Order: sequence, then C-alpha cells, then structure tokens
Amino acid sequence: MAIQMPVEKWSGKIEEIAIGATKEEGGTRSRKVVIGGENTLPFLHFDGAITNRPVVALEVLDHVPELPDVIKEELKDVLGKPVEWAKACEHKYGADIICLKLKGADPETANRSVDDEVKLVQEVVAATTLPLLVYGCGNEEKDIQIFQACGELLKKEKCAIGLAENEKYKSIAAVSMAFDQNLVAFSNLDINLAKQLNILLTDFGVKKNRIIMDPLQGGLGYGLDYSYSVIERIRLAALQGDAMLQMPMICDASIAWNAREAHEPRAGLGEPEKRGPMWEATTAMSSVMAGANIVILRSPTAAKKVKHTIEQLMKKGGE
Amino acid sequence: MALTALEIYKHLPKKNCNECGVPTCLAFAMQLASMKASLDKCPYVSDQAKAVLAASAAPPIKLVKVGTGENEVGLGDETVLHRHDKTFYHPTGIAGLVTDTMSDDELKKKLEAANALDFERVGMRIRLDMVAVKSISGDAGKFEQAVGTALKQTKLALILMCQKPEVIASALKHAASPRNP
Repeated sequence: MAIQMPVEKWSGKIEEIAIGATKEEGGTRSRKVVIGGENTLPFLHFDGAITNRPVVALEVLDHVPELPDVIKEELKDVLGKPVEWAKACEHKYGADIICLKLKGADPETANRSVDDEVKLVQEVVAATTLPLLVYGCGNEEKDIQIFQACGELLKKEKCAIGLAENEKYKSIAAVSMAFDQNLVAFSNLDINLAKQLNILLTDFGVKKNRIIMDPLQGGLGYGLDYSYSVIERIRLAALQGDAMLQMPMICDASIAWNAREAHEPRAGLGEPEKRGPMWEATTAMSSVMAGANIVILRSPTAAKKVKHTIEQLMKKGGE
Repeated sequence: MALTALEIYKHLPKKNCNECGVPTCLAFAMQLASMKASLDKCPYVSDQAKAVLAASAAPPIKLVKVGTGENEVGLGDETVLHRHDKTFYHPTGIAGLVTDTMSDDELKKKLEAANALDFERVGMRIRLDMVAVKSISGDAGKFEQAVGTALKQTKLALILMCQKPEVIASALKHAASPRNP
C-alpha cells in the first residue's frame, strides 16, 4: 500500500546573506560563506530546498578572560595570541568563519585602547583568509570608534559586525549602513523583541538582507530548551511569511562554558576534558536543529564534532 | 487524524435532543472537534459511530511501553510536533549501547556505569532509560550470553538489536515476558 508522503509547502523563505569577499569581489578572502536561502525547516530536504548548510564560526578573543581549566588547556597554544589563534582556526580547527570578539575594549574588563583594537583587527584580517565576524565590547562609545576606524577594511572584506540591541542599535546600525556591512542583531530570548529590533533597524535604514538575528542560545542545563523553542518559533513564523523574521540566525554556543557542571571534576560525570566540549557541542547542535545558520564555538574539539554532524545531516535521504 | 466538526456531525444521530447538554448535534460536534466535550454524553450515538470517532480522536502516534515496573518507559503518544503548540508527554528514551563482542568484564563495567548514571538536578531525576544490546558478531550464542548478562546486571528496560530474526528469537527465550523488551 503506497503511503501518501505529507509534504509541507511554506510560503516564506529565509534571506540569503554572503559573508567574505573574494578577489573577484575586491577582497582577499579565499572563499565566501553563504547562509540562509532555505524554504523549509532545518534539514527537511524532502519538504523543500536547503541550499546552504549551517556554518561553524570559531571564537577568537582579543584578551584572556576567566576561563575554565579544561578549555584553557585545549587552547593553551593560542590563548592571548589572537593572530596565532586566527591562523589556527583556519589551518587546524576547520572553522568556516572566524568570530573576533573585542570584549577587551570594555572599560569594565581590560579597557584596551581603540588604537590597539583597530591594529588587532588589521592583523587578524591579514593573518587569515577566512570570512570574519567582528563583535564589539558593548560599550557604544568605544565600539563606534573601532568600527569607524576599521570601516573601510571590513567593508572591503565584506565582514559582519555586532551586536545591535533593542536599546542600543543606532550607532552600530549607522556604521553598518555607512560601510554596507552585515549586522548581527541581538535579542534576549523573545520572539517579539527579535521582530521589533528588525523593524527598528529596517526603519532606520538597514537593508533587510543585511541583518543576522541572534536570539540568544542558552547553554545545556541553563535554558537550552527555552532557546530551542524561541528559535523554532522564529523560523516557523518566517516560513509562514513573516517578512520581519526572515533573517538568518546566529547562535553563540560558547555560553555553554558558563555551566559549572560542564567542566568541573564531578564524581560519576566522566572526564571534564570530554564533558566540556560535549556540553558545548550539544548546545550548538540544539540551535542548529532549531534553525541556526551560524553557530559560534569556543572549543575546536566541539567545532569538529558539530561540523561533522552538520555534514551528515545535509546528506539527502538514502545517502 | 482529527476529524472536523462537520465530519464528526455526519456520525451523530442528528436528533437535536439536548440530552448531552448542547441544543444541536452540530454544536455538539463542534465541541467534540475542539475536545471540549466527550462523546459519552450522547445516549443515542451508534456503536459503529463510537468506534469511528474513537479511532480519530486517538493521538496519531500510539503509546508503546517498554520494560516493566518502575523502569517502564512510555514512548510515543504525542499530539503535536512542536512543544509550543501544546506540550510533550513522553521524553525521548535514551539507551546506553552494549554489544556482544565486548568482553564479559567490559560488559559488566558498562552495565554498572549504566546503573550508576542516576542523579537529581533541579528537581528532575536524570538517568539512562534503557540499555540496548546489539549483536555485532551475528552469533546466536554470543548474543544470548550478552543479553543474559544484561538481564542479570541491570533492571533497566532492554532493547535487543539484531538483523537476524533467529538470533533475536533465541535471546528472547530468556527476555520475553518478564522484562518486556
């Protein structure tokens, strides 16, 4: 008896965004990464077209914050050396994109100077041929100076910058428009706030196909399931035709390391060196299954697992 | 698959007698469709109609129970694809895998670990739900032995995995009714 396969036909489609400019486009990236473009739920190849696979971004930090021992050990060759770190991301860790986080510029942390950060951005861009995301520290005054000084360079290499938030988006939005960059828009686990930020940004003048949404991924045991639900609902609304939610999504799984159970020695919970990366990989895969087009990871071990799993999921049925 | 109010109405007696508490059969059908009323309120619905309507009201995924007693695991019985549409009832069962090519020692260690993985976190009990015993060797004797060890060393619900029915049949001799694998 033949089974009538139910096929879901969605009216909406996710925006396609390219990060990274190759030589043909005036940049020096060895390849560009394209995200989005799908017209169905994650990996349901039988329902529609999933043109671009989710990609893996590896984190590079400008300074060394408090980190769990397990991850410090894994990154011992590159922590505190962001240029070396970027090279390792490209040649050793298998990253699709590098996410350079300039958290050290924050006056509350290392208070690195604008000049130092701009110099670092230039060095990292020169040290790698991978496409880049560059995140500021969250202090608007500092961030705006850094992004303006790097504007031409980041424009040439077609980078993405972040983060815009509901209360503070105008200055970063203005810079992204001035230099035609992709912009990561962050909202705190709320589908309505995510949509509102997209409306505010597009009203302000940011092009709809320049926005990447970060809806906040909670770590395993610390809100993962809540995030899953929000991301799932955002993606469903987009596919049902809500134009203000059709941007691709990015999820930062490095938040998983905040969980103490992820890496502390605990009887009966196995070796921390294995547990930590698995904790982060599980967090990342949860967001990928819900709809993330980019996941940011800290552990290279976790990143390899996630990338491999995504490759398996991109195979169409029967392969 | 859930029937619409009109489809349900076709099976009702259409007497509009109000004995169910609703003035018309169509209105009652609408309540049934949105699960706000129960069919047993209608004294005149035929047995045939009852059977048809019961079948359609059942969840699209059947409930299957594996294991016994406090280690019984319920699988399926869900009505929605997404949690935000209503809720989920039966968490996905998680099984630890052992194989019949493991040494007796290794097998016992794994089963001990399976039993020991049981802790509470934020008011929830987290543990392995089941143990899956997989035939790698293809040999009935080896598989029977591994299953026998598993039966003795753990009380968790069991999954027997093998591509050859005759190998499973020989292992089932021990495992069948008492443990509901």
